[in-house]
Amino acid sequence: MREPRAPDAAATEVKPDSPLTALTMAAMSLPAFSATQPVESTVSAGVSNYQEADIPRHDVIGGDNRRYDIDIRQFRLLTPIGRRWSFDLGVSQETMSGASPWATVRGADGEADLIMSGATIEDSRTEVNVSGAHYGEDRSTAVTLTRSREDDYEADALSVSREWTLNDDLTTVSAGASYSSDVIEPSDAAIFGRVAREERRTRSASVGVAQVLDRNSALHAGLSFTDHRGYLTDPYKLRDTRPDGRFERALSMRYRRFLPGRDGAVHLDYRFYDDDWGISSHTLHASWYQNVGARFQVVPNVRYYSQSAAYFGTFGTESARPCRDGGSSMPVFPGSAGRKWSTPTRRSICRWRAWNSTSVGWLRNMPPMRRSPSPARPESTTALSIWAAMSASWGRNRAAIPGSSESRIHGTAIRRLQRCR
Amino acid sequence: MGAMSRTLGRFTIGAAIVSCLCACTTLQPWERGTLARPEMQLDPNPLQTGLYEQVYDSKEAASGGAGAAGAGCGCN
Repeated sequence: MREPRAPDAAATEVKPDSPLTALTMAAMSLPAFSATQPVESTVSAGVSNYQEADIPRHDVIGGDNRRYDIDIRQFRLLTPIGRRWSFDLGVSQETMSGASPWATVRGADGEADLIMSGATIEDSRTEVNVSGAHYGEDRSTAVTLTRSREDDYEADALSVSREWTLNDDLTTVSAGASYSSDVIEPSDAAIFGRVAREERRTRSASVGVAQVLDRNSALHAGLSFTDHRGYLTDPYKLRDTRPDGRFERALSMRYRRFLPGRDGAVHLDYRFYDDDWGISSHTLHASWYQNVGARFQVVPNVRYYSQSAAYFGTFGTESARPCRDGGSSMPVFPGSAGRKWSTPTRRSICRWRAWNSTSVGWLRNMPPMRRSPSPARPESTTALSIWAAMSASWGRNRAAIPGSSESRIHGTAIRRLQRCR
Repeated sequence: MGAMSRTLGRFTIGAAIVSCLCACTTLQPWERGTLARPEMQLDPNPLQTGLYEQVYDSKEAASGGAGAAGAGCGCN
């Protein structure tokens, strides 16, 4: 993975050899951790392709084994407006094709096999988000509107966030809230007996603290709560019925440290997640940002993800045994995954999968739309950068439904759980 | 909600400990240049992060932690 150093990187070298430089450093201090207005306009765009490994033919008992191929085009404009405001516009457009898993069944050997959809599914998604932020002396407030449109899925979201800087700008406290209203209208509903139209709502709140530890390191801790209500079932899965409510918690820690002797920085990210479906998860992501000359970076990274199974997980074509929990009916939930490698009754399947993503894009820094208050603003900085990224991931995956949102990936193995009585 | 309160309480305590440990840290303006480097940002490449988060969100049950939730499906 290669990424460029942003054009303003050179301006951030520690050379306190003049009052102007010192002022520059002060003005540009901690843009990542505190609420500071962008000093210049930035336009960036990317074209990416995501491919997922086909499912082995012998694991598919019906349908097509080809997984998704997605082309993504992204655009972003971030610009300061006046002395106190900024405007952020993001547009993402995706086109995707491939077969989607419909159900998991118990194979002749007692292990999980898949029923896939036929041939290929074609779909496209467009997302637009508009954000405005106001910057005060020691705080900032941002409001973001997001709209996402697919053939069968619409989502509109509003989020508000605020940051406060404390302790001589070495501590940043943040809080945010969001609300999303989604509508799903499955395609071919009449043919396959799917629901015609359903809705779901998502409310989320988050808090975070960023702390500068010393001149070369910083730590961020975040906590978020998310509440989903409404139709949470995947209408394209067979015999899939999920609870109509879900409450999630996630705790994240992010550590950044720069090693001057190696001209690189280490990133360590950890997240713990759990919800009231009985799913808990650990995610660990470590990256090394190695500067190569003044124009390139090489960023090797490794990500580990594991999750436990939803407590109502089972195979999709087995007889439904409705269970009750807080009044919600949840007969069958295919595609649950677990990180326990062995269970008393079933041996694990280690199904290696890989996906890769490549992206090429450009980033252009322009002078701000209006005069910026920061002395660090270059008079006419215009730069063009190109980056390319390639990555591949793999993992043990005994997910019953690889395509469902509860059945994936690195280091996961399915664990059958059925507590219905 | 009891579990939520406990989680929030632990988070607050942890954040307070970290803040207290670092409260004595002082940095002069010219000592903050390294922290402003692109590779030291929480999210050095928002465009790429958005792409990856979309992929992970459609493949994994866990999400969140870094901020409020977004919108959109793009599943499968």
